[in-house]
Amino acid sequence: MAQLVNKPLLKKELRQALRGHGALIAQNVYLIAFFVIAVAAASSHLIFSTALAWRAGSAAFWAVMMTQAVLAIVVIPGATASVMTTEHEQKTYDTLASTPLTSSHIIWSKMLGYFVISGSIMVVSVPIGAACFLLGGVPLAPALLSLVVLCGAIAFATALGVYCSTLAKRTAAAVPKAVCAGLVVLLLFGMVGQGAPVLGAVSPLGAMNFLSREQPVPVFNLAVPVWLASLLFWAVAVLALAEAGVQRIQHLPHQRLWGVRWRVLLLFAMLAFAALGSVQALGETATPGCAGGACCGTGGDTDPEKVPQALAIFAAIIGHVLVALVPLFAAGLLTPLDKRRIAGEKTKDYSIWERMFGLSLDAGARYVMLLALLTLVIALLGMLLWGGEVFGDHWDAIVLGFVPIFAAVWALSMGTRIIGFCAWPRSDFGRKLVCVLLFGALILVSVCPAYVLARDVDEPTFASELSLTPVLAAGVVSAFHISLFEAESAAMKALTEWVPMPVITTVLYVALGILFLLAKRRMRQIWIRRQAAAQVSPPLPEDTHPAPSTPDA
Amino acid sequence: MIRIQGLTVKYDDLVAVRSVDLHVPAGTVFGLVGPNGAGKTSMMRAIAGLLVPAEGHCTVAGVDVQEDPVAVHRMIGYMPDFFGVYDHLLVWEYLEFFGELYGMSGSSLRRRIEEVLEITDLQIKTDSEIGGLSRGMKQRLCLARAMVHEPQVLLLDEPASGVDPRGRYEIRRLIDRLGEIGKTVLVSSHILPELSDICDMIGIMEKGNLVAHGSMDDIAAELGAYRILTIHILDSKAETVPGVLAGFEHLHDIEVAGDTVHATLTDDPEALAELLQRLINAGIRIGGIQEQRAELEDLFLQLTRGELA
Ligand SMILES: Nc1ncnc2c1ncn2[C@@H]1O[C@H](COP(=O)(O)OP(=O)(O)OP(=O)(O)O)[C@@H](O)[C@H]1O
Ligand SMILES: [Mg+2]
Repeated sequence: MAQLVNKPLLKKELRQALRGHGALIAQNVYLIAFFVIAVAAASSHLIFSTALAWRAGSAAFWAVMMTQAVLAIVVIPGATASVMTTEHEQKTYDTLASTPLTSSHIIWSKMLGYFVISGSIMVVSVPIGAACFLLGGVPLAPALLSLVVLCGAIAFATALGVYCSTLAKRTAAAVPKAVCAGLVVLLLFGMVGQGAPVLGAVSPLGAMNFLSREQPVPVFNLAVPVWLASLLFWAVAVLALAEAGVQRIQHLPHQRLWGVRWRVLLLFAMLAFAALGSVQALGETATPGCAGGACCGTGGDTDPEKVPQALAIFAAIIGHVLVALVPLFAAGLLTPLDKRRIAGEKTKDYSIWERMFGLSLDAGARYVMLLALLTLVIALLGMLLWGGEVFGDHWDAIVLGFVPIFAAVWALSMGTRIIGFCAWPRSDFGRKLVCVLLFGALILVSVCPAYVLARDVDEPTFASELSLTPVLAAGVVSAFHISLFEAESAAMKALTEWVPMPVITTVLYVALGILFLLAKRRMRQIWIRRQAAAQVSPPLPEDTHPAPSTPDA
Repeated sequence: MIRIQGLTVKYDDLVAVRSVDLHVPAGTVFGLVGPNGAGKTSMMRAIAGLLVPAEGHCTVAGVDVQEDPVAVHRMIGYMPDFFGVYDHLLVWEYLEFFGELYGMSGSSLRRRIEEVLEITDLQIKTDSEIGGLSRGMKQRLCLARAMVHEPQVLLLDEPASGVDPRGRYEIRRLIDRLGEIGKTVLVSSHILPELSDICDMIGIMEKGNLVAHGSMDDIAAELGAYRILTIHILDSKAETVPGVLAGFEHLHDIEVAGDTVHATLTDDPEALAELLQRLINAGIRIGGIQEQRAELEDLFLQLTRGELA
């Protein structure tokens, strides 16, 4: 431990973070918020009869624990993403790096420090948990184990934030990366877990769900206690993230390259594992997308007939996660290529991603793209290997499901470029905010038709879950609609008799993209004109200052 | 103490330091001078192990910086040219933090903190939050920080920029004292005169090259610097001096004004001896000699053409 954690550095981090009223206020707000959650969760049971007090206790306890677990993964990465970047921004990094500290010391001490700080804020919810305990209905062991799971989630979230912090030099660049990464983890594990209980169980929400039912996780043909699976997974993840972070700050370029390949491999392995998990889980059960893996059996043979269906669902879920993330990434993608082109850069200097989407994508966005392509490949490969003759029936569902997704990504990135060209709002932050709000509205608008369409699908659980992940639910649901479920929806039939639904969605999004493109053209002309005007007009007062040349000897 | 061999530092295509060889013996105060972008900071950062050189090695007390950076970091105190401090810590907490990083603790650390605060004239600010210090005070705090673990080697990158004239004087005196107690100091500045009286050796950098290094006298000689003599001639024979010195190769310029002669001479003791010998041989009696050395500023300007790298 002494090899990894440096006590003075730990002390300094704690001193810096806990000084002032910030931590106290955060704790109190947190306490009040969770008190409200607990009361709200308990009240619905208490209204009916005091005999149901034990149910109220259980409901309140798990509501508090689950909310905390989700909060940990969503908030902590963003809050800790400034850990390394502020050292760069405040220019304290060099002084720190010239001391006997090693990069392991720096990463691990900071991680431990922020783990303690995040933990100390969450600790205030323990009295609420204890109060729920008094109402009854919460067995002791799962209650304690849920704290273990929560600690695991906090440790992971902290490690994720610290790692993201080594990816950038500025906090403004690191925070979106960290928040996106946290959301990816939550959504990916939560949603993929719908199909693959192995992964669903390590998601903090899934783990709490399993714990509250005192149910083991089916890992292929074994039943593993969920806290063990969860803790093991987070521990490996923390180690991997810390190691990756340590490598990032050793200033050695060749290691960085290896790191990227390693991460891509890991991503691929994870997806393959999740795909296998979906196949195993869905092959056994008739209901696709059973919530939290609650209805999965353990053991038994996989039905080869259902494999392609399982893979299709898996791919569709990943696709949904991807589209739901677009506005978030878009918020970080406000460097339109055209500005760079006007500044004299040549098109051939752009990466393939930049040429595809017209934006300089940052690492996080590239991962999303990669994720989509990998999923597609895995799904198709799996169908090719296992699908046999059914392959012919279903490949179009996947491909057609993905075409609209890429169309949407394209349309949204075009929209981002418009905002990039607008001089309003003035600040970077303001533009990002507008971006998120606009795309959020767009998503809301597309939720409605998606929901209407999904409502008619045979499987009510599956339909409602898909409609929760918005935007292109319509496209993908319809792809399933046609090829997999063949539902008896009159509206759908009437529409899709002539044109397949994914084609309609694609056309819609391409049209939207073209609209954005035209608007962007216009913005570009305005921008160029404004630049030209700025050049001929007299220089601004700031530029007329004489160069400070007097030596202050 | 510090040995640099064939050091080349590159930022992508830009060569910031070009195969520099340098040896700074233990106990030497070495001044690094050069215009903006000369590569001073890059060189210091390479010695402090903060960047990986494209070629060459730096060793401190025989330890290669790339091979064992932690061992080197224990021996050095580095003060970057642009630096920040942790605004939310108190002054003593800041120094305690760095002291502990170097393995100091307890009363010896507390005593040392008081010492460095006294040296840098910051005692009254011991319990202040760092965010409330002025720029110059932060500069002094950073200097105190670099010294807190009593390192053998100090790398000070423009320690006096942003400090008031009195502070500059104090920092110069401090460096002087560090030299006296046997520390090896590598200090950089844009301003040569600021360094010339405190440094045992000077290195002049331009566009990544170490164009000259050695003691002030060595550099002056190497550059063919000159000195101006004001010679007071007795017996009203001043008029004859130019004749006597005609053809003397070390003489650059001569001017007669009444009883005094202003002669510009190569900066070489031999040249002066020869000149006096000639005058005496010609029976000219000398009432007095005043010597005026070429200004350091001139020297510096002569060496560096002020081109940016
Ligand atoms: N991080 C960097 N990335 C790219 N180029 C750099 C970087 N740091 C320095 N350079 C370049 O290296 C050259 C040397 O810079 P350096 O900072 O070493 O000079 P310096 O002598 O310290 O200058 P100054 O007196 O202005 O501090 C400059 O041309 C500079 O532009
Ligand atoms: Mg410099």
